[in-house]
Amino acid sequence: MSRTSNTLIIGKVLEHYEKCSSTNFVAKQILAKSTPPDGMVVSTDNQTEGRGQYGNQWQSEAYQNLAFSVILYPRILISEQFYLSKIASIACVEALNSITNLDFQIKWPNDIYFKNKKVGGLLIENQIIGEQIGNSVVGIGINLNQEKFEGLPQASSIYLLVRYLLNRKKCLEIILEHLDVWYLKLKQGKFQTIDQAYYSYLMGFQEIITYMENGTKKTGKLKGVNQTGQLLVEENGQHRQFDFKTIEWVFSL
Amino acid sequence: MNNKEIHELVKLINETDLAEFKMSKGDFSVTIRSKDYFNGKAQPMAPIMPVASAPAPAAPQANTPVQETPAAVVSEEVSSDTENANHVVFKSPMVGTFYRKPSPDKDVFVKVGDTVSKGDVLAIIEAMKLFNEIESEVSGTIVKILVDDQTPVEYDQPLFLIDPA
Repeated sequence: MSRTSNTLIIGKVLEHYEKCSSTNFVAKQILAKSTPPDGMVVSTDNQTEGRGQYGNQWQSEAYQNLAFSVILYPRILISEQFYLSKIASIACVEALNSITNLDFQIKWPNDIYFKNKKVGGLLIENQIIGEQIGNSVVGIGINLNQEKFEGLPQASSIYLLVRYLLNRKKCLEIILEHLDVWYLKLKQGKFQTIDQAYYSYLMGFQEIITYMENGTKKTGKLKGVNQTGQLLVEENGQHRQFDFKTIEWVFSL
Repeated sequence: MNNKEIHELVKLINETDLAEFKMSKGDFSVTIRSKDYFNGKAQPMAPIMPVASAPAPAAPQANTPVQETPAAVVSEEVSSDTENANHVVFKSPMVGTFYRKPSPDKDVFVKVGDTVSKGDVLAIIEAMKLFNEIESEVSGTIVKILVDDQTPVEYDQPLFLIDPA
């Protein structure tokens, strides 16, 4: 156990595991057995069964990257849940930008990119109690020092972008500090401030993007994200909203 | 019931027009569905045997021996589904995709006949890659699961029928 000093809520309690199946899984086990403090962090050097969304594997070499989960009690409505994704991705992008001086972006709905290279992702698991989010486990994976990504042409790491090795503990601290700031804004209900920051980092915002819908290549202007997290696109003067399952982003980079 | 007996049962049901067969005995329960069930071809079944004021369908009935003839069990379920007003309808609190398993390689959270306590996870509903565990608001027995795994659900759409304990 250790603690992060420069935060108010996030990382005041931090449990680190040399090895575990997935930090989200461990965090959920902790939640099932006890009432951990708001902002508790579970991190690991070696995540053996890291996951992307529903069953997708997240490849990560031991001792090279960041894999951690943050337990939150956001007390927001179910309809506001995408704000959890927003604050976590804003925190990651701001932290990585300050570490590297590069411009990282959020690729909707839950990935962290530099240009067309993916360096990280989120996996958020909530527990619904009535009409509210009771607790949330925000899982974050960032590729820091990994050099090779077999068969994943779009995957990359911070090291591959800046060509120096990064101090993992320090990077984790910086991300947690940024998350602390944005989690407080969420708790204060500053949704507009969060939206502004989110759009400033959202890849393709107010730009013409290319995407596939039902096997057809289309273009449209990315107008934003609605409250439930759907992507808003203006297609031939028509306003449309997309679920991530019905739209596949095509990189024009 | 062992594997061989289940195998026999599947064979037996295949020879009939039954779309779905459910049976429970003590803490054991089995559900067998034919192709017709998923094709939606199945005709609503009229009770074959008259059932005198059927009790809650899949609720464990420790003292009452459950008849093992398919017709009897099916008719019992049909009649009680429509008659039992005490059942609690658990509705979707949000729009999303309904998942019955924590991940594709794991077992389902709950199946028909399972006893659940208040706070037990019934399913996951995912929206924009946020995964939401949905908890039961009552203790009781799962009578019916009204939505197929990995299908879209609307706000307030009935998901489970629960017989409260």
